[in-house]
Amino acid sequence: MSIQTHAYTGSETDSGAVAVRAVGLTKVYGADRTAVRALDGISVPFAAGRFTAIMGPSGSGKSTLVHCLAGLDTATSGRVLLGDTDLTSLGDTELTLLRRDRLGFVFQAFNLLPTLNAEANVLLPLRLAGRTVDPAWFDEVVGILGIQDRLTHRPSELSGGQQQRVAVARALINRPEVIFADEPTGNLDSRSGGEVLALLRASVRELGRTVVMVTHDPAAAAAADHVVLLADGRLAGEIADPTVDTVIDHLRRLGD
Amino acid sequence: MRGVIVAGLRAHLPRLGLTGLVVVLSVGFTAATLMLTDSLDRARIDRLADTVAGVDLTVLAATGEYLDEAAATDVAGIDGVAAAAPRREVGVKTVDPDGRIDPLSSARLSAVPDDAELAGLALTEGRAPAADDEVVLDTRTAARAGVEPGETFAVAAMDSGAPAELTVVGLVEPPSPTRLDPELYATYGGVGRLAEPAGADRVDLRLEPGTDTGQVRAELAALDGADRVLSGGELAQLVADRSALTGGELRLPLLMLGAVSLLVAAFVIANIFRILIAARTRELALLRTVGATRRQVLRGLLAESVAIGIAGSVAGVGLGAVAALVTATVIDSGPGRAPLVVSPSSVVWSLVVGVLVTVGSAVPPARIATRVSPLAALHTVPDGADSRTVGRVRAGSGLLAMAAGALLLIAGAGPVSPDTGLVAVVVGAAVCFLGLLVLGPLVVPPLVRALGAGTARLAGAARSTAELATGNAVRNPRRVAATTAALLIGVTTVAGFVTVAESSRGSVDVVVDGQLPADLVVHWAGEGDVPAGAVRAIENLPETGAVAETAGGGLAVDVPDGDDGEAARAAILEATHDLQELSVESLVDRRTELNEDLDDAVNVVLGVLALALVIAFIGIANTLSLSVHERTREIGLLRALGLTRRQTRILLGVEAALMGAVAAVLGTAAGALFAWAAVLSVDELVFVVPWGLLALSAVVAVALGVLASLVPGRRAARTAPVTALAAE
Repeated sequence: MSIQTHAYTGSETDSGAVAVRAVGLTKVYGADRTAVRALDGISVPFAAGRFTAIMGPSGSGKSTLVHCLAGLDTATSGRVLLGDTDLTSLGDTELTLLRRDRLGFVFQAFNLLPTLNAEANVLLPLRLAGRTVDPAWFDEVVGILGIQDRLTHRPSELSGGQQQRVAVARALINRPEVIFADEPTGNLDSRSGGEVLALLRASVRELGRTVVMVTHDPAAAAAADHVVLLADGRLAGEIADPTVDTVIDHLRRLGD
Repeated sequence: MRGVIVAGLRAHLPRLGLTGLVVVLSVGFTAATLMLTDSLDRARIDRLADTVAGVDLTVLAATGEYLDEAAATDVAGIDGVAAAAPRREVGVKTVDPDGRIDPLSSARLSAVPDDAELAGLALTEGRAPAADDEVVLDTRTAARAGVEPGETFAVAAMDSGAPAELTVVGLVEPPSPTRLDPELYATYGGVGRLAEPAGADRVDLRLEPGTDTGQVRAELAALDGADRVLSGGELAQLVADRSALTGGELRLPLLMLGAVSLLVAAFVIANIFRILIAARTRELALLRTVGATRRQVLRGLLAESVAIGIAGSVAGVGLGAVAALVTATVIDSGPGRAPLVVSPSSVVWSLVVGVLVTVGSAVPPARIATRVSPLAALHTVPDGADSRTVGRVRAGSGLLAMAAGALLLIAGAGPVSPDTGLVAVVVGAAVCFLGLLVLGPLVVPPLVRALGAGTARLAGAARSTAELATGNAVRNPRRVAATTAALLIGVTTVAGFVTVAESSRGSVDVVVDGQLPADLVVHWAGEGDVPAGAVRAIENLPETGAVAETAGGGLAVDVPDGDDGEAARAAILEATHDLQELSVESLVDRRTELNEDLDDAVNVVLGVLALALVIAFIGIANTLSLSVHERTREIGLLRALGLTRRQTRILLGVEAALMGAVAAVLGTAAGALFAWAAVLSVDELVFVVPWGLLALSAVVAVALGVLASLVPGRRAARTAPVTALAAE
C-alpha cells in the first residue's frame, strides 16, 4: 500500500451539484476463500458538468466502479445515487430503462451494432424507447462529431476513429445525465484517440454533459478536469486540473 | 488427434447432443417403420398359419379347376386319415340395409370344416357355422353393417343371382388392420350355394398320430383332379404368399415420409455443424498453428460426426423399436399377435442411413473448416458474420434446377398420359425444390428483409426491435437459408399434401355436382343395363326429377331442390321391390364416407409429417441459441443501452418468427404449386385450394419459430449488460 500524499475525503468536491455518487460501495466476486474484493467500501462523488477520469493500476477496481455507477453491475453493498435515484434499489427493468433514458455509454471495443448503419446506431437508445429524435438536436450532435457523411455507412465500413465518433454521438443523443466511457481510446491510434477525447471535452464544455471515464492512459486522463485514483478497491487520491506529468507522477507513487 | 477429438466432443456436448437428438428422431422413425411393418407382417403370417395349423396335408386342385366333393370322401377313406375337409373360397357381394346388392362390395367367403382342428377359426364371439345358412363375420364388417350374432346378413354371388340370407352365429377378428374387405366364413355347403362352378379348391387332412406321411402323400397324388400335395407348413407359406401383406401396404409410403424427416434432419445437422465449426475457428486454427495438417483437422471433425452418427443411430434404433411396439399394439389388436420383429436388416439399414446422413451432412462444413488459415487463430472473427458471397455457380445451378423442374412440372401437368404425367410432376417438383434450396441464400434474406420491414411498420413502438431482429436474421445468408430450409421442407410437404387431399375431396363434389347433377345414384348389380321397365318406373315417380344413365351402367337421379332425397329413395325402392340387384345410393352418404376415409389418411400423414416439423423446430432453436451464444457481447451492449429483458425476448422471437414466416410463405407457395401440377396430371381431379388449412400450416410454422425462440430468448434476456464491456 502506498502512502497517499493527497488524502481524499470524498467530500471535498468542486462547488456545484453531484451527478452521480458512490456511497460505501463494496463489490465482492466469488465466495469464501476465492472471494475477491474489487471495491472495498468506496465513497466518491462525481460533479455535474465536469469531465472526470478514473485511474488506477490493473485490478484497482476502476472498471468495477464504473460498471456499478452505470447500473451495469450490481454492488454487494453500499449505494449508488444518480441524482436522487438509488440505483441499488432498482430492479432489472427499472435499471435498464434508467440506462436507456438517463445514461450514455462509450466502450473500448465493439461499440456499434454491425447490422445497423451509423444513423440507426446513433438513434438506437431513442428507438429502443420508442421515441423520435428532435431533428435539430440530431443535426447538432452529428455536426459536432463530424459524421454527417457517414450516416448511411455500416460499422464495418468505418474506421476505428469514425466508429468511436458514432458511439459518442449515440451516447449524447438522449441528453444523458452522465456519460460513462470505458477506455474509449484504448483501441484507437493516438490521433483518433485525441479527437475522441476532444469530443468528450466538447460534450462537457459545449453541451453541458457530465463525463466519467475509465482509462489507464495518462494522456487521456490529462484531458479530464479531474482525476480520481483507485488502488485495491479504495480511493487513493485525486488530481485537480491534471497534466500528463502530474498523472504519471501520481501513478508512479501509487505503484511504490 | 484422438485426444483432441474426445476433448472436442466433450466441450461441445450440449450442442452435439442436439445433433444427436435430430439423428435419434429421424433414424428412430426409419427403424420404427421397418420394424413395425415387419411385425405386422409377422403377426399376419402367424395368424394365417394359425388358420391352417391343424392341417397335416392338403391336396390342391389346379388353378381354375375344382375337386368334387366325392374327393373329400375318398380322401377320408385313406388309411391313417383322421379327418378330411373340402375347402373353397369365393368372392361375394354384400347386401345393403335396403336389402339390395351392393355392386361395389367385395367380400371373401370361405368354407370352414366341421372339424374344429382343421377349421382354425379364432372366434371372439359365438360359434363356428354348422348349418348351410349360417355365417361368421369379422368384427369390423359386423360393426359396419350393424349386425350382431343371431341377426341376418345377406350376400350375393359375384356374377348374378339372388342374395342368400345367412344367420350370423359368430365373430372373428379382422385378418388385417389395413384390409377393409369383409371376411366371411360359412360351411362348405353354404359356400357351395354361391360357388360357380361347384367343387373344392383344396381338401385339408388331419392324420392319425404315427401315420406314415409319405404313404398318404402318394395315395393323395393319385387322386383324380389333384394337382399338388402340400404339408401343413407349405400350405401356411402358400396362404401367406397369396395374401397381400399389411407391411407391404404401409412400408413404402411410411419410408417416403421418413425420407422427408431425414432430409430435414440432414439440413439441421449440417447447419449445427457449420455453426459449431464457425464457433471453433480459432480452436481449429490453433491446431493448425501447432502443426495439425488439413487432413488431420478434417479427419478429426468427421470422426466427431461418425461418433454422433453412431450414438444417435443406436439410440434411434432403440427408440424405433419402442415406437414400433407401441404402434403395432395400437393398430393391430388381433389375437396371436407376434412379438416385435427386429430383423438384422432393419437394424443395419437404420444404422447405415443414420450414420451416412450425419457424416454426409458434416462433410461440407468440415471441408470449409479445413481451409481455415493458421493466422485466423490470431485474429478476432466478426461475430457470426459470413463474408463469403453467394457464388455464381450456386446461383446458376439453382436457377437451372428450378427451370428444369418447372419444365417437368408443366409437361407433367399438361395432357400427357396419366401415369407418366404424375411421375413427371413428382420428379419435377423434387428437382424444382432442390433448386429452391440451393438458391436459399439468395432468396431467403431478401424475403426476410421484406417481411421484417412490413413487421417493423406494424410494430409501432417495438419498431426498432423488429428492425434489429431483421438485421440479425439476415446477417449470415447461408445460416438463415439453412435454418429456414429445414422448416421449408416440412411446410412444403404439408402444404402440398393437404392441397392434394382437399383436391381429391373437392373433386368428389365437383364431379358429382358439376358433371352429374344428381342426388341419388341407382346401381345395377345384375347383367346388362337397368331393365327398361325399372327406368320408366323411376322416371314416372312424382318424387324424382331428371333421370340420366351413367357411364357405369347405373342411373343418376335428380330430386327437387331442398329435398334430402330420402323420399325419392324410398319411392324408388318401393317401385323396384322385386329387383334386388338394384340399389340406391345417396351421394350425401357417399361424400360423407369418402371424406371420413380421407380424413383418416390425412390425419395419419400429418401426424408423421409432424416429426419433420419437430426436427425443424430443434434446428431453429439450436441456430438461435448458438447465435445468442455468439452474440453475447452484442446483446450485452443492447442491454447496456436500454434493451429490457422483455424486449430481448421479443427480439429473438421476431427473429425466429421471420424465419418461420419465410418458410411458411415459400413452403405454402411451393407446396400448393406442386400440388396443382399433380392434380392437373390426374384427369379425374379438380384443383381446390384449401385456404384454411394452408393458412393453418403457415401459422403453425411461424408459431414453431416463436416457440423455438423461447429458451434462447430467456438465455439472451439473462445476459448481464456488463458482458458488453468484458474483455475478449
